[in-house]
Amino acid sequence: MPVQSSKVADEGTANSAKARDECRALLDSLNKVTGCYKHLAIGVGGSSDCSNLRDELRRTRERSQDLAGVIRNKLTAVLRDKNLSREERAEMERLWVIFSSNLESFQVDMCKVLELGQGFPLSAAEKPLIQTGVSGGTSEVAARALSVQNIAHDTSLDVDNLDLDELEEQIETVDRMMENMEMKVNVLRWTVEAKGDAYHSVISNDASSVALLSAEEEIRGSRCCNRERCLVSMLFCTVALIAVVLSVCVVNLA
Amino acid sequence: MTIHTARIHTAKIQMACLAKMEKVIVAMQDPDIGVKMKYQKLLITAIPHAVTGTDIVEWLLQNLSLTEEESLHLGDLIVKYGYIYPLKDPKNFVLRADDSPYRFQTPYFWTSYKWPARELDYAIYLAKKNITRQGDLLDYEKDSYNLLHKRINHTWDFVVMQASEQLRAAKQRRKSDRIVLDCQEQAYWFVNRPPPGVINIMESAPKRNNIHTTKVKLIEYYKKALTRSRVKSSMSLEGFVKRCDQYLLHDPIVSGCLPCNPWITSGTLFWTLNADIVTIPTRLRVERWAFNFGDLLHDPLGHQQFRYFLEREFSAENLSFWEACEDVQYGELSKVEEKVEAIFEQFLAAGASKWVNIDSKTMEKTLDGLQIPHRYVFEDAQMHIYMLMKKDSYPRYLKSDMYKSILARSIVPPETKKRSFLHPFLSSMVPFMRWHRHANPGSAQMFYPKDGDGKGKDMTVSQLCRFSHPMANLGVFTGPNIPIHSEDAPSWSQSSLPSFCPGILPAATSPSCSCTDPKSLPLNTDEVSLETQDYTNVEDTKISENKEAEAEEDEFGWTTRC
Repeated sequence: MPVQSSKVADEGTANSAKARDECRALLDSLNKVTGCYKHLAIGVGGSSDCSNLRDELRRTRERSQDLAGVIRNKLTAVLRDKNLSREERAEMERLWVIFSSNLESFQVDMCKVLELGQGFPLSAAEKPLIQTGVSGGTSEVAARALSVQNIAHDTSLDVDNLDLDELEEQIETVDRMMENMEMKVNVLRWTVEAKGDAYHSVISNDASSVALLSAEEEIRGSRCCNRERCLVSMLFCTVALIAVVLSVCVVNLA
Repeated sequence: MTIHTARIHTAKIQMACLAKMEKVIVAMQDPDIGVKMKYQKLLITAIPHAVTGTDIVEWLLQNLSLTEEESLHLGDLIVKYGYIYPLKDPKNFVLRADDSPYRFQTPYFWTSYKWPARELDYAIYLAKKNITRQGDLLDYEKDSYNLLHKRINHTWDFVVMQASEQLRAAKQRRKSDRIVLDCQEQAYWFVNRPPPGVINIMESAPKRNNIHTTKVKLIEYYKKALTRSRVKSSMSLEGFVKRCDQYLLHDPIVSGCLPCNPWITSGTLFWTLNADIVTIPTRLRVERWAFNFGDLLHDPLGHQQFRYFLEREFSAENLSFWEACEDVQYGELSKVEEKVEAIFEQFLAAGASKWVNIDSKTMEKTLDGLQIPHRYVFEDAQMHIYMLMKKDSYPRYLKSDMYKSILARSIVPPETKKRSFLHPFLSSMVPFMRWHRHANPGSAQMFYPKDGDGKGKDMTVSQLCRFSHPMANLGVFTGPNIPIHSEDAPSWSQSSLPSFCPGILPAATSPSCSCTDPKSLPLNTDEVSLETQDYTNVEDTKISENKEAEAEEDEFGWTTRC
């Protein structure tokens, strides 16, 4: 008997652990998508604004909506389960707080995008875009955002003014979602403690990623953008080589 | 967590000055007449869309037809509000009319009151900076970082996650864009969270209420409040209890009114008996005059009686003076002056007809106050006379023959009851439905707590009947039950004595019910008649004994039982 019950308990804990890991993974994806959305939103109205950007924004937004819906269902289901152990509940509440902060940021970004999109319609020629100095494309960022797991996705629609109305509706959906969340699950925010680095060690090592980030930056910086610098340095190298050869010759001669 | 909605925020209007600046900025972008854009040369890369200070000033000068000074000032304002940020000296948001480069801020980072910079975003920005610079933040940034870490600690995981994510996303862009994005964000946070010493343009006008003075006032107020004399609650409660005890019998709701409550029975006898001036007052009323002087004076009949008494004692002018002062206090504002004059003539002037005896100090003060007559000039004098009467005449009145005689004359109106017209049995039960008041000391003993034997001493006949009936022991209480004033009252209400309630029990078993509850009577007749055959038989014998002694008809044709 005890063996069986412990087995059941193990299963139960295994289930909850699985749910927890799933939630974490999903949250990570949501975080990625909202971060990219914000990054793209910065470009609206600026010199890099174009229909592509709007399209990317839309797709990113849809993706994050899907993710948010899934996470919400999962988290609500888990948190309403009365049989959670205290540690489990603390962990889930932490995830909940992360989720709600994410949603909040996302919503603010959506509202801003709506407003800016209305303020800077791409079709109108009279309203030029602000020359902000940003000239590159944002497709990589969008690709990063959309590389998260695809939940259930409608075929992409045409990019036109429908996007903005949709956006408004989406904003309201998110509003309702957040309200709903607050109603259903009562999480006391002040009791949640951020784990800080411990969390990151699970998904990605923060310290190492920091190092990676800065290191990568150096490499990429020197690599991708400074073609001209490469050429110049190569030129220098050849000139130096020639100089060395000449000096050797001179020495030899002498 | 705040919940924003797009609707709510579109309803808010952007601040006017900011909207105008935005228009100017957009106008500057015009490819034809806009500002000339140059390239910013950084090491190897060249970033487009840089503007020199002179260009900005010139453009403003030409397109908005301003003077040079004005255009410089306007340009400076635009820079201060973050729509254009300097490239060379990022810590100094000043427009220099030379070739120092500036760039336009992206609309997402435009200054806005609709979308104020959030703490969370600032935390994310600082976290990003912390990660890239590996802890090398400016002092005020460090302070803010620590403060935020403490304040929004619960969501710090999110902050760090977002920060790293945004850094990773930014790495996907090319170098020049990254530089621009960094500069943009830095400029945004410089405007929205300025370092100490820099003017915060997001601040509104100086606050109206100076915090310091309001706090000082509050402190003073509370200090004074501490020194206020307080009465111990036990003492004030004692006083309250005493007052309640004293006035308990006079309260018509608690103790019921004799003869009957006009609101229940629709009989106005009570009001006629207690009219303002009546030859034979009720005993309660007269007794009340002895409680305190105020009660005597405010009762019209008492007032009148007191006046007669004082006339006999030749000190009626005091009362007249007091009445006149009251009149001034509560009378019409327009007549105040003339009344004051009249009072002075009558009561206070030397050799006046009704001169009142006031001590010299008060007299002086009053006479001084007469220069500017107002309602309360006679307040001191009135108080003096009032205390005089209270200390001197009032006790004498209470001991006087006048008072005693009126007390003896006063009546206690007997309680009336509506005669039941519906059923003979019911009418015979009437004496048991009576509500006996404390005024009849004999009947007060009728109400004993229901203990085991149910028979106390000194029980009257009707009570014996009640307790002998088996149904008297039922503990159902469903009807209105007006408690009576006796020590037994609390236990009585819990006892098994049922009240006269419709349709549940025989009415006769309840000795105390609203004697004048007409609604309950009609309903009861049918049930009662069948059930209480035995009981009424028992009763009849008792009743017949009582009937002769007690039955009397009052003026309304109701049979009352004393």
